[in-house]
Amino acid sequence: MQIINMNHIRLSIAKKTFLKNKWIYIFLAPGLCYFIFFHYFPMYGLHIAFKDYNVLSGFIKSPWVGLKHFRTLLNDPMFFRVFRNTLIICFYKLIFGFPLPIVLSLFLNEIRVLAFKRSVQSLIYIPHFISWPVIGGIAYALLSPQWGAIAGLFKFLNVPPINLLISKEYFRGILVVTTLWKTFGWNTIVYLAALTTIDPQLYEAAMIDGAGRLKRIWHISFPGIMPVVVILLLLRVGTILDTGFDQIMSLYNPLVAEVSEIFDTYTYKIGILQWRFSYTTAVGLFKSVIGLVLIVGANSLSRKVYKEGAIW
Amino acid sequence: MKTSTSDKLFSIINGTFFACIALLAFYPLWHVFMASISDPLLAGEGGFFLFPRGKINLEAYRKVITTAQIFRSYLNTLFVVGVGTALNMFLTTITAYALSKNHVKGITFITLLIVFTMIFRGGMIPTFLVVRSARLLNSLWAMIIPFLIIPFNMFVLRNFFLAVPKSIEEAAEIDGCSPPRILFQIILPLSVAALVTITLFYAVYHWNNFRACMLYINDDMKYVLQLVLRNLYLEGDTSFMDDLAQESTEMFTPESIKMATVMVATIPIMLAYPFIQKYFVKGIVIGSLKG
Repeated sequence: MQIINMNHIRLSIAKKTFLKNKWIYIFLAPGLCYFIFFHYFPMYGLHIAFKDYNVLSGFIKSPWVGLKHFRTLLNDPMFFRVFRNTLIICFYKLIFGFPLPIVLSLFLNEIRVLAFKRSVQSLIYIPHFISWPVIGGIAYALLSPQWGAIAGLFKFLNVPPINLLISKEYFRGILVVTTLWKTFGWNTIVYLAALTTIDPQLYEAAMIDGAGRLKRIWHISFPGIMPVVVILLLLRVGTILDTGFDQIMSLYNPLVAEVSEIFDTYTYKIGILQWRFSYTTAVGLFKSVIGLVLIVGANSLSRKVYKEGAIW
Repeated sequence: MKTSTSDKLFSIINGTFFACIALLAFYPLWHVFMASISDPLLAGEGGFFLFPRGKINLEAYRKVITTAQIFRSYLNTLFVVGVGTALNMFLTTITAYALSKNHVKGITFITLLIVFTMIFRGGMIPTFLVVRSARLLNSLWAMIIPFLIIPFNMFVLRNFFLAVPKSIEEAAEIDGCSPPRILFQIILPLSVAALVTITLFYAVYHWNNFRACMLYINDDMKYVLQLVLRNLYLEGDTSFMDDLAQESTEMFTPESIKMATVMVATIPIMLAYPFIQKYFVKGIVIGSLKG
């Protein structure tokens, strides 16, 4: 009698577990299909970098050409210009854009008047929600030498107006500054959130020991957010070559093409607009491989220097 | 606690510094706003504004709102934001919930699969060709379907679900509740903060997305507001508005039109901002720390 009851119970538990798991799989199915079709299928499509893709033959039937496109790429002066621009612009953005939010968060954290602190927080991450076309519009409004805000400054300083937006010398600077403006608030808040996890007793102990504000920041706050800093840095390095398309397409003009054409804008122009699919896929693949090398390199470096920071 | 003079000095300098930073963050948009409602001739002289110059002039807005191209692109954007966000939330929620069940077979593997897509992607061209093969080109759906789930958002939700105490779910299971009911009637009401945050993330994403429109859509009747705005100031051509010139009672210039269009493209986000604020900092704390 008892044995039959046990089996009964086991069966119904098994049935319930299966039913419950069935639902989990059902929930997963649409999302998984989405990722496979729109993320993994394109990864498969990357191999057309080694083929002469044409729209009639599709992925499978297009003829194989091996490294032909990569050879073309290495002989294309435009490619090297694009490569150079991408590296320079991304490097500038990293050097100027990465440390700033960290420093800001450390000092913002020291503000004692809560209402003020909160107001500052609210204001600084507004730019994060503004789209690049809007930022482009704002940039024109501020930097136009005839009717922009800066026109007033030129008149005041009695200097002939320069159009910063079409000058090759300043355009990259504009890219960096606008990126900074858009992203510093969000990043500062992320670090600020990390700072709240530091044990307040550490600060109290330091104060008792007589450490001033700056000392406390340097010895407690800064090390306290290091793990977050390292992880975010790694992620930044990994996606670094991807940044800028939206921005450059919103601020672009032919006069600055020479200094601002990056991988993605180049790919757009000759890939999407001129249908040179295989060649631009080769360019894109080249870019992705470099990105992968960067993130793996940065991760290994971080593992050697700062163990808890590495992603793997 | 005694505050020393150096401490007080620090606070004053720090406070002033951040007041300036906050102003710097806010001023550019404010400038455009002021310029858009100012007298166009005075605004066109250049310089910095804190307040509108001259009489308040809303003619540029009137023009912008009644221009067919802009109005249409507004509708297109609303479609993408509405339908897109709804689909996003539905799919992201069920996927995040499923992925929070770590003990089920295969879940960790699938989680890794999705994380991998955050690091490595097929690229612009292969994705374009896939979108093309799905016959989405030149359709507003091309702004929705290829973006059905944004992994970062999904992981934020998943982490949130992971934090829900198991006892609640177990109690429901024992009572014979089926998983969909558990999710919708029990877990979701507990997750309102996270859900609102992610909904806002998606909505803002769709509102600001112009890249998909540029890549996948050729028909200018289907352009989205951000793209129309961009074309407007990059080409500087506001002549399509001249045919309405006779009807205007007040003055406008191409520049004031551009300013008004910029504002129109961003005002909804600004209106949503207090809501974003309310739920947002919680959202970042959850998302980034567990990142």
